Amino acid sequence: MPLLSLKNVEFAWPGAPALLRIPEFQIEAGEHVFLRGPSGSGKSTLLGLIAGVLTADSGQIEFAGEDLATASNAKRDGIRARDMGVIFQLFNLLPYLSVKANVTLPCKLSAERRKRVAETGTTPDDEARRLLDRLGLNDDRILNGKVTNLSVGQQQRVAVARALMGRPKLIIADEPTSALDTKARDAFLELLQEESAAAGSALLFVSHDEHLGSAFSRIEDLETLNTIAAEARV
Amino acid sequence: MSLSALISLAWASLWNRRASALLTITAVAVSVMLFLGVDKLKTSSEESFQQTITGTDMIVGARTSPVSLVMFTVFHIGDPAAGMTWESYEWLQSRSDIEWTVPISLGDSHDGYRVVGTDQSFFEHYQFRDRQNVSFADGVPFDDLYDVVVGADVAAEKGYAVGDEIELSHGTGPVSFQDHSDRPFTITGILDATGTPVDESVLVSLLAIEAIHVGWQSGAPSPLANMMTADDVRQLNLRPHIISSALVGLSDRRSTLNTMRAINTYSQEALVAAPPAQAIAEVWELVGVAGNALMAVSAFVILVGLVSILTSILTSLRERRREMAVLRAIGAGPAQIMTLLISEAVLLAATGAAFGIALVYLASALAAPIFEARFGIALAGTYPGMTDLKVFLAVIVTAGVLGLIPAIQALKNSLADGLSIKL
Repeated sequence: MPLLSLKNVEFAWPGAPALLRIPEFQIEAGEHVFLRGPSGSGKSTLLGLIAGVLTADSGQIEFAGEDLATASNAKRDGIRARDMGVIFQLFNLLPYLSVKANVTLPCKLSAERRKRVAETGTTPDDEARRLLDRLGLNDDRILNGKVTNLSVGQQQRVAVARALMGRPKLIIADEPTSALDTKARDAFLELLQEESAAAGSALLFVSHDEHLGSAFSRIEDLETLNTIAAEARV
Repeated sequence: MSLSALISLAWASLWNRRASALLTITAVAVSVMLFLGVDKLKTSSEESFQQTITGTDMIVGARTSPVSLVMFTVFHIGDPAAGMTWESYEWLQSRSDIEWTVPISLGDSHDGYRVVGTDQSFFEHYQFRDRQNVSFADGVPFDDLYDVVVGADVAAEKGYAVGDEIELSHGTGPVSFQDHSDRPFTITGILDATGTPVDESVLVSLLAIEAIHVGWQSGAPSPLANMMTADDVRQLNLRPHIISSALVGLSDRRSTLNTMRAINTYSQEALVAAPPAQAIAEVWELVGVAGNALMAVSAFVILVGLVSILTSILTSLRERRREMAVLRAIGAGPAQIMTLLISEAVLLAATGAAFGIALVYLASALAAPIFEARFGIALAGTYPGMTDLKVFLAVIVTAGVLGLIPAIQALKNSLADGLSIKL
């Protein structure tokens, strides 16, 4: 059974024409997928649907055996807290928390994540330290310091650490590299893939930049998945 | 996320905006301080007012309304319409159900201060606040015909000391053209401040009142008045004729109604007996309106303080849209976002209110001796009490309700934003 499965999903923003119609899209557990799509093609909307922040107008979205389309709001929030890590393009972190507090935040929201950290025989704080260390941020001053003192590249790595905290089943990355320069971007991508693999998390990486796709074994094109976009193109 | 985790998140967020948070907290603290301060002053002045006379069971005078009798006797406001004869006063003294009496004779003034004719019993039986007797800052009670005792304010404002000679005038206007300047009086005592009208009084014996009026019976000086020296007057066989009213203490308080009935139906003269507390309470109902108006105004000031919380959170929402989206992405639900913002409002209000309460007690601890000395008002409640708790809770609940407004706004934002946040 796939980790994520979309069937005949349709979505339109209120008062706007239909934006997405996806007959079928699946991600296997632990699978890394590159989803390509130009700006405005509905990438973020699709991620919102998968993350359970938005609800589809029709169709089925199954995640880890649960139907997000019929689940209550609270349930979808719970599933996201437990099993998804989200990385945005920028501003992933809460400016008023320390780096460590940002990374351990998912454990505060989800008992399940806390439990999974505990199962590996460690504490959220130590796990945060380990993840940041793996991501090249092993300085205690950084760990306990302010988020705003970090460079954009460092902030994005902290965001990865937070997404991976408590090994969620799916990492959703929405253009996480677009604010980075080429060199930092390649290093970031490599780290993200490595760490997702190490945590056993599936990775859904979304970008308009097709060059990044070369690092992925599976590449999808949103304009192909989305039949509305495909029809418009014809 | 647990409530405590949300509250600590709210704290961290407020700490991050501490400059503006501090301003908001100050606004709330000052408004709460104002409200509680006004409340405290109101309570204190009410107590002070109602305790202007204690221990006196009734006031007796010529028939008039009880309120007017108490007003002129205790507060020196207004004048007695008619006097009570000395025979009636002696009748009161002779009654077995009456333990003590204090005669009060008004109608003269010294430089705008009331001259109160009475006798030694005043110092023994007149009590105020928690059954306190008047005490002497300096000197002794009057004894001789031309002795006077002055209240604390009179002495302070006129710069009088024991041994000074003063003149008393007929009538009660601040400037009297008919000074009884041929009758020099000597100050024998100065009283401590009491916070009652006694502070603004000049006390003399009843006979002294008679002495000032020798030769003045027609209302203007007769040739006789000009002819007689102070020593000549001393030779006259003076005795009191008319007094204004009398303070009365009963042997047994349970007999109050019977004694009142006996006095009210006294056949020789139309008299009225009035328990002072009741009349004073009636007067306070009128006077207290000003205090209530002040309370209402300061309640609105609290509301303004709370609205400033609302303003500060609403303003911050625009720049915190990303923060909300991040929290949503991590798995926070709408209820948690709302709880977070309401917690912020409540934290600001609670901190402000706590500071406000602390400030009131600090200020009243500092000001209490000054109030005591200058106005004779004992500030009520040196320790935080129910009123403070009620205000504290009311402020918090109101802040929580007002916090719903930014909370709902944030909720709308985050639902509209989804996972894609517009910059």
